[in-house]
Amino acid sequence: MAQTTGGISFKSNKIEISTNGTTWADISGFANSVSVDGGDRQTGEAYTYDGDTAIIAIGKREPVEVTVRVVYTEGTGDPFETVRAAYEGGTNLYVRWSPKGGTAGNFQFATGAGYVTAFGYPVGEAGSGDPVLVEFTVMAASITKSAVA
Amino acid sequence: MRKRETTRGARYRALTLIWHTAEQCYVQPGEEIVLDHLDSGEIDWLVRAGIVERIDEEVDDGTDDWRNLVQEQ
Repeated sequence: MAQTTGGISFKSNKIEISTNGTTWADISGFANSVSVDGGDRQTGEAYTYDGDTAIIAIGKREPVEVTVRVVYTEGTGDPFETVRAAYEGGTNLYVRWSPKGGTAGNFQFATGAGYVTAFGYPVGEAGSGDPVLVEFTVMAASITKSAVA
Repeated sequence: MRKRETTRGARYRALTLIWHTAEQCYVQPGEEIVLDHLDSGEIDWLVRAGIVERIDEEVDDGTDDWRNLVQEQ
């Protein structure tokens, strides 16, 4: 079988956050990484006296945790302040991203209404010249894939 | 009746869940979607990718069908 030519790196990823699911802020110029954890579908197993293998059943999907690392900045509408407010206030935060850049025909992955369950305040060492990065995690029920048009 | 040269103004149906960038909402599979905010190349790509399908393959471009003219006479 021929090798695919459709593989991509993550360099063109577009990532946005929202506090209401309607108005989105493009934080691609701040974000450094995005990762997803959780979302496993629960499973169960049982054995009977007959047969040699288990009976498998499936349950519901567990929540997902989307972790985003951004450059720490202090602008009013910058991601650090937006996410900090959602974290401290216990209000909703939505995250969505499009690995190929969010133009027509690209896939997009979006959380529903989530909550910031972990938030990193700026920390660092005196000897480092690296830009300060902070990380936050949004827990949501699921991630929805769509196409952009 | 000739096939319309441009895709602008044509009607399309979503074949998958689509985030509509102009209207800032989701369009569910099977629902009609307005793509007037995209250029013809982008629309063609969406059709080829199986994301949308054109509902009206042939659109009246304003040229009268000769059979209609005969009937009018």
